Amino acid sequence: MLKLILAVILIPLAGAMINGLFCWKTKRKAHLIAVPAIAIPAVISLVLFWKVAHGQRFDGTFYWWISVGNFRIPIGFLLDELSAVMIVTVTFVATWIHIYSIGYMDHETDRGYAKYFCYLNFFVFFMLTLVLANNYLLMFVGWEGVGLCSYLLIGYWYEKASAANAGMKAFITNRVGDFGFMIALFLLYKHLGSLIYHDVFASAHELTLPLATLITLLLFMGATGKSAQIPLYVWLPDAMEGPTPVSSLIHAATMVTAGVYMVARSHVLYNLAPFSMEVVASIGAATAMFAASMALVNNDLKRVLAYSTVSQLGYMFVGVGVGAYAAGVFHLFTHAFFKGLMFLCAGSVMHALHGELDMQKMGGLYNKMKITAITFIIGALAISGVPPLAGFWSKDSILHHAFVSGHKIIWFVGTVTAAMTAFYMFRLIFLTFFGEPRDKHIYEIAHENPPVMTIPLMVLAFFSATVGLLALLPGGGFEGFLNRLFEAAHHGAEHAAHGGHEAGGAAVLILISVLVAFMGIGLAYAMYMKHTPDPKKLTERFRPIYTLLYNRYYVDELYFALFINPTVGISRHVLWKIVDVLIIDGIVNGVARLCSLVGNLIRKIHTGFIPDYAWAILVGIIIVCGLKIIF
Amino acid sequence: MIPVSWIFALSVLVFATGALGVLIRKNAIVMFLCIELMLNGANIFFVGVSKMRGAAEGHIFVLFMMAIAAAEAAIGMAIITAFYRRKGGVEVDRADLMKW
Amino acid sequence: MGIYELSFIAFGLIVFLSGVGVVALKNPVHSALALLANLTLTAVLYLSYLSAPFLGVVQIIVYVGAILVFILFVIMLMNVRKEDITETLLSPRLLFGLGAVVVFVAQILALNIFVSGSAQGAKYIHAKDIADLLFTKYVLPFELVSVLIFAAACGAIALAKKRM
Repeated sequence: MLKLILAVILIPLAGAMINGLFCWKTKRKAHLIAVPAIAIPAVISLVLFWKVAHGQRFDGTFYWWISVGNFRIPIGFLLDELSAVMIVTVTFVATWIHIYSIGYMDHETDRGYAKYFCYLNFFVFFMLTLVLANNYLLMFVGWEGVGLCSYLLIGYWYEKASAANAGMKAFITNRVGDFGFMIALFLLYKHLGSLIYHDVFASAHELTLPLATLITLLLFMGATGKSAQIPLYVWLPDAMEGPTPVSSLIHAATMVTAGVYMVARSHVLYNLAPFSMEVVASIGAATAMFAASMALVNNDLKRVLAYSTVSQLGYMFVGVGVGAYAAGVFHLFTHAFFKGLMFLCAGSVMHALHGELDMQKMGGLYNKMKITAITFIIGALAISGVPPLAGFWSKDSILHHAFVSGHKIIWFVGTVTAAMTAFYMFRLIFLTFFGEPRDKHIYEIAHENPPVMTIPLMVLAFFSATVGLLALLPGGGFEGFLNRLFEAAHHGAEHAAHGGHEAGGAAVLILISVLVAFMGIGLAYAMYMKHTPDPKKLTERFRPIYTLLYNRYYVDELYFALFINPTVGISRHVLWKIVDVLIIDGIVNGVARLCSLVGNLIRKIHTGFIPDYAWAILVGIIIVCGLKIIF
Repeated sequence: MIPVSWIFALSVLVFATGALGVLIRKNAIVMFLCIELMLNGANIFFVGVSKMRGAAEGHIFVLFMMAIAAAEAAIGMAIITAFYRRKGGVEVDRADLMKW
Repeated sequence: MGIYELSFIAFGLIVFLSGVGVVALKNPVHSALALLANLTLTAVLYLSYLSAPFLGVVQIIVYVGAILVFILFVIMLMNVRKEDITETLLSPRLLFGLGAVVVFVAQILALNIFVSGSAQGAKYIHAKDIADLLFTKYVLPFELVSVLIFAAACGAIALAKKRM
């Protein structure tokens, strides 16, 4: 089993190495290496998943990475239900996105093409390290590694200032979260003496309540950075500067869900800290609503999807926050398919329109791009929660758990958000694919993409439509499978174990969520197809709200005023002018001057006159002989 | 019989004379001669030890030292001739390239 | 103290004085001649007092016959004239040098390496004794010395080449 796990992790690394080191050789053929380097692990992951489904688990050490006294960190892997689900999701979605990228990136230069695939493989390697690690430190390695790849890929078109800045923004914002994450790790090590999951969870009950709360909150701070939650979500919309398949893979399907994975992985700790759970759920609900409201008015195709991702991540945190870890991870799983699909569709539109992203200029593209449009609609139906598509099952499960665990407000917020989600998704569809073409030129150049791009769309659309049905499998379905892990840990504290669909008031809840989804869709249809009420007039009437939403609540400006400008100002006026120039340069130059001063004194010894050296020798001999006499 | 310490005293005196010469002379050739003098003083010492112990080891070392002195003479003279050709004299204070 | 010991003292004094001559004489040719005297007298010392006939002969042949003649030859090549000799020996350097050397000698004396006892009887060490050791126990250093001399010869040629 260890061999298979190693193969899953190392094959993408080997692919990245080949493309990275020999990019001048692989050039246009980079995908011939990169795609198998993901597809083979995908197959192996399925094998591993099969084994886990039949009750096998793996938790072992491959190599002692750090071993200093009692501080021992292994490179070890943990394969259980949670990580099995994660590796299958990651490798499967990544495979199709790699294939899609062949078509999407065909305008790139030779080197850039190989570089792109190198980064992509590298990302998958780190993501698999993150989910398969059996200790927090190795997870942190993967955590930082995916952050690095994210930075590299957001800034892929680094000649563009906005792309380079977006990369930096993502990286720096993540640092803030990582700061909390690292402190949590330090605290864990200090109080439990280990970072290996097995040991940590076994001795977690020794933690006092305040300490457990502090640690879990700090861990969640890391998650807010990586998974784009309030207050650190600002980087994700800007991350759309990267190539669209990257947005699909990293910023929708896999990397941003790392935070959810981490919280689910640490469920033993979170169960000890009810307050942290409340915080997680509240932040998740707030983010879901907040991000969805910004998506309502945005006109940028990819940014709408980005806000949607933030919002859906909020849902996942609601799930894990109310104790329904399985539901949260299930939503992570289904979201990877339908959000990955929608990003790829957006990329397909963008590719056909030569980079145009403004929905105001589109319209009527259904006639030109039938496959893209239909697959996008499937994705949108899935995310809106229309049964029996994937999103319905997972989102409904989260809302159900929130409701039955007594979080009525969170349930309400989630339901309203579901309506908003349906609305903005179909607003996007109606503006893009239906109605009259608003820009004749763009409409003219639109065309359907080659099969290398459309086949991944169809495959992902198929899975977006069907993976939700896994919830109906015998034994509690998908969540029952995961609950084998989560419930073993805390003795059935889980609410409504088996899916909950057979519980008493469940039917009403399902009905409500389906109803709000259709309401959202209907409203979007009325506004953007029938123009009753006319969106323009609504905009006029609610001008202040519209402006507030359109400018994204001025959060970016707020952060600039609160954090960035003061930092830059202090750096410029204090750190640079005083600390650097006066103190640090002073020390450096002072050391240099001291050296030359001493040198000036000492070089007088070097007279260049040979007898003087003979003198030195004789004096040395006399001293040595003198020492010999004395001692 | 001659006390062995007399022989040692002679060797030390010869050696010290040579050392003094290296210290105070400026002419490279004379310095060189003084080094030979020091070697000679050491040789006397070795032969004296050999005489005292009745063993032949000291003689072996003297032979080696002679061989090394010959090698040294060859190299030293070559350096001195090259130096003379370049600087027009053999006084060591003409060699001041390495001076500060 | 018999005539033998007195003769050694006198002889040693001559050896020492010839050494002083090497240092004190201004003209390098005179210095070289003083060294010639010193080396020859040392050879006599080996032959007469130290029971080392083979070394005495080798001293004459190698030191006097080869090295010293070679050095004299170089001195002649330099063509030193009287007016070129500008060195002044009586200087503060001399005083310091003497001081240092006296300290050094005193230290050697204080080190007490002079094992008391006298040179043993007239056990002469002949070429055969030396050869027995040299070609058995010390054969490797012997070969190494031959390599060293070869290297020195090469180095001397390289150094003495016209263009340097």
